[in-house]
Amino acid sequence: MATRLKETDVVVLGVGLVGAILARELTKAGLEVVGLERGEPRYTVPDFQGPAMHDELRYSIRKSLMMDTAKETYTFRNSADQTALPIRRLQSFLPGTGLGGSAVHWNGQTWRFHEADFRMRSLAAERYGKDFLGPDYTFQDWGVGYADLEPYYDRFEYLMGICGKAGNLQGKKVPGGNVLEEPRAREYPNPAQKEPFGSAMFRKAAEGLGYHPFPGPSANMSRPYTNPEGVSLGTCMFCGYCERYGCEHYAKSSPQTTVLPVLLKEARFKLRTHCQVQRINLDRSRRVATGVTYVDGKGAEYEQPAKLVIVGLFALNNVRMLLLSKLGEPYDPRSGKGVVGRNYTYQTTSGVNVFFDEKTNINPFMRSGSCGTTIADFVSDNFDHAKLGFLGGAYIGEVMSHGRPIEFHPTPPGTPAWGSQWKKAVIRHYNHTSVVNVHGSSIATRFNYLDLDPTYKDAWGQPLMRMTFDFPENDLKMSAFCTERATEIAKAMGAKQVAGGPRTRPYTVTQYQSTHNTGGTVMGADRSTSVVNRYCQSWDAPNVFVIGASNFPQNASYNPTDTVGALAYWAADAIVNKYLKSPGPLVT
Amino acid sequence: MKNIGSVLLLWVFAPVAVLAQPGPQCTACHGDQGQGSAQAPRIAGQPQAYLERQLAAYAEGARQHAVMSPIAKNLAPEARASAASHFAQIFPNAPSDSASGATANRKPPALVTRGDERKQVQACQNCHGPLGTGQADNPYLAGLSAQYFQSSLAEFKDGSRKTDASAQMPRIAAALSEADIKALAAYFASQPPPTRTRSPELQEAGREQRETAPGTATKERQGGDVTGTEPSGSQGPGGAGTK
Amino acid sequence: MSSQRPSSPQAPGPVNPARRLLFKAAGAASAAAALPLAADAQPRAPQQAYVFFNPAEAAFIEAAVARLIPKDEAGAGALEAGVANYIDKQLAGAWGAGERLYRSGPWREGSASQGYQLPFTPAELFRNAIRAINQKNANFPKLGAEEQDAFLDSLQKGKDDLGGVPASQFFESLLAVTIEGFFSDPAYGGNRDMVAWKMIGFPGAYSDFYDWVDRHGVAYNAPPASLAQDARGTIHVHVVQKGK
Repeated sequence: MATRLKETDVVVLGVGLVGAILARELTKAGLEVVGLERGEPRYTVPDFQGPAMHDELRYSIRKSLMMDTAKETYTFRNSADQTALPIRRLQSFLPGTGLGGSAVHWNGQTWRFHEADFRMRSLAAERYGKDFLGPDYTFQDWGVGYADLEPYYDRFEYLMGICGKAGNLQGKKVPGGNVLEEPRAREYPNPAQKEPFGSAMFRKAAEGLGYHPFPGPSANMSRPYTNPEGVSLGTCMFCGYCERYGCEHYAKSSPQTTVLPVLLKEARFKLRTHCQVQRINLDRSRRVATGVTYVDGKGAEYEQPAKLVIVGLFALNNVRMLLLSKLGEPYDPRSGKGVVGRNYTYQTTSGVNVFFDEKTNINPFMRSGSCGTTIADFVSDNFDHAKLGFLGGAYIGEVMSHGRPIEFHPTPPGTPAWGSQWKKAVIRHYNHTSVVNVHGSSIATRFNYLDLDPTYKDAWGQPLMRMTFDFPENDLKMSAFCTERATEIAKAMGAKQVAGGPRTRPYTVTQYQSTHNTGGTVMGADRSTSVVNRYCQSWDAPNVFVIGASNFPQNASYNPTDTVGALAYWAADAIVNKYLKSPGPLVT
Repeated sequence: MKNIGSVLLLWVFAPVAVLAQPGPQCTACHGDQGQGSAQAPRIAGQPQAYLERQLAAYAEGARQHAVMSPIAKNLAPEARASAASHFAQIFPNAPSDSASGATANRKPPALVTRGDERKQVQACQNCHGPLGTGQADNPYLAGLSAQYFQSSLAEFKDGSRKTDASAQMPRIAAALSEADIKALAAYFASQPPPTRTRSPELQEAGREQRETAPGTATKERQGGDVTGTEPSGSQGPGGAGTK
Repeated sequence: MSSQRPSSPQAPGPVNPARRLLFKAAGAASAAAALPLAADAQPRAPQQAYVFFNPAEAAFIEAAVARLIPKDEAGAGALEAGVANYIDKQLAGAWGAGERLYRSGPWREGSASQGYQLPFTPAELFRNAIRAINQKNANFPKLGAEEQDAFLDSLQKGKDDLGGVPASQFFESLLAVTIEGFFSDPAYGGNRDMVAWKMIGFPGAYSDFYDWVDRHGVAYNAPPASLAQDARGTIHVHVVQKGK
């Protein structure tokens, strides 16, 4: 029997990036906010300090900062004619847990999406014809455009202190920056990080081929920075323990280093950790949320009533929360009806190893999470797809972030997997290999979706979520094309040998690719194909807002975090300036 | 103080371009093994790159000191390098003002091993090595005199010392209180200095270009799955994060 | 692994004759200060006690890791580096017992893309497979190197059922923990004296390369550091001594 608590104005599910930003904005607006986080509290001091943090086995291999798959996981199958089985150990994607969420252990790549991403359906139809791809592809417009979100991208980037070089300032192209990006109102808050050796070789090769390389925008600080919240970050020291790790230097943007120090002093904010939310509760009409039910670290069950519910969990868990709460109609791929779980997408990644001679010291251990050099020439609709037969694209870049040897000991094709020859090859190539990454978009299809598993449950007795996904033909073509371009650049870097390949089917959960799981609570203008409206407000219960990468109708070429942060500020703005003044549906 | 007359004579008669004799003009204050004295800090065993950078800083004004600035300005870069190399390789047993063994096991202040969340300051040892005994070419702190330690942080704090390209030290110094600085100074002064180098330039063992087998494998044994063919293989996209 | 101790202190770069003269003139200090580097001697198979493996299992594991990453002219192999000890302690600990492993049934054989679906914890997987191997091929530790390699090859490609564990899956797990044990921090019992890191040039638990990252292509020669080393450079590993 759940203990009923005193009603709060707002309950925020998940105190990661979205939860921290929403809690900050809503407490500033005068509201009482309870933040529920399933994991533990953790802070730069003492939890992320060296030398203990520099432990590849513990953090990269045993995944200590990630969700505990002994208690909860997802089930997976490539297609609906298979039986989904539990992902018993995380490999392909690594959702975080604990205060700060995945934004504690991320690399820090911070990219704005293109207008062609936000209006993918309309603009692709204009440019290539409405039947360019077949009917199985369910990509669609977001209901918001780049111009709507530009001020919020700006706000988020200044919160984080993003380091980069603008390539388009209010329409004026600036060489050296990303001249293909959408216009931004002002320069980045901090200059780009130093360029490492491998990235410099990539840049020269890319320039030689006529592309437009630029420094990747980074949430690892290039210098000390104090953000508009008054929280200060230190300089990134290129320690090479970025993704999968917390930062000991206060140099990586995370909730801990940008907003929590202020939020946690706010009397109107109550943080509760080790609290596993079981469901959003709805009233009898099922059109109004009354709060949530959660189980705390001691196993006690509570009902937290609230006037407003913000769902700011990791993207996959946003979808699962709505399914468990029976909020919104679940998607059924056979009928095509329903929306929750529809348009699940991922990221289509590949790469090329670049093997240099023994005198070329790459020093991959001297890196940060998102330093490096990239080209956007094959991103989104930056190139003409008319004769290519696919939509979408990839960024291509030398963005190596580490040289940790359990994860990285490249050898050329033909090298045995063990034994003396393997060992010699590892010694020969470890410090003389660069990697060119291909980070590609993921288009939505009617076959890839999320729903509740009929068999497997979590430690609380609730059904796991089932993921049905494989790479669609469109993305395989995109990957083949972009990987060829990457290989050409790699060959021009002066190496002795390059070796790589495009993404192929089937998608496997056994190999790390990306933690950019997107979609499932899609935002849009049409409620028959979206779960939330353009303000991230649930069509079904107006006092529920769902914010995160789960709102993406399809995934773009770039990493999602900048857009997630922009949506957080965009939704917060709508709540404070529209919803609170007149609670109810913001779009009719 | 050694024979300052002969030192001055050497300064006068030795052309600047030629390597001046660094011995007496360094050892007069820093001790004959660089172990430090009341006038000058311990420099023995500090990383060569670090010592060289300090001499360059004194010569160029990024660091200022009534005695060091003119000395450094009169040293050609080669002479600075050789002086730095010389002292980087000396590890005398104890600094002139080190404390007795009884205090060597003293518990370090939390700032050394943990940092301070409220002040947003990381642990000193992250960059300065275990208990401040040095890391690569970051200087060791253990065994430095309390007075020197305090004055260094004061110079970072007031901006007169601009030797840290990463700008970490000014930020950290600004966040520390006088009490913090005093406690750290006292702790480090009580500790024995390191007895071995960790400086990159001075490591030669095992690091010269290896005469290993050439990179391409023979056909001797093709053991099934091959690592490295697929950059997005089981290690992830070979060293590159995609988050 | 080449491990030349320098015969006299040398500054890097071309030696300036005037500088050499300078050192001599400066006096005894330079000659007396031989670089006090730790001797990079070849590590032996370290003294240890096993807390998980029984003697027959330990014999198999030692022989297997010695072939997976052999000692050769490039330097120490997995055995000398303490990888058998690493695996023992891992299987005896939380990971071996199923930390972060979703352990609810039903258990079904899935497709390759669905990943691990056996009901075994790592400890159970190793125990079952090695028991089956020792029943069929108990003299593996006594075979010659080529025969051992052939046997490991057959495991790698094999479909045999080893106490419920498919041979190739056991091999994959064994190779994975061997590589982990070779390259992980010595705090965990493998990579003894950071021998594997020295071999490839990985610095270990450093946290600052700010001044180095734009020195493109520099030969970075710092000695590696373990997260478990104290102020005097001693690495503290939990090693169980026999008889204590």
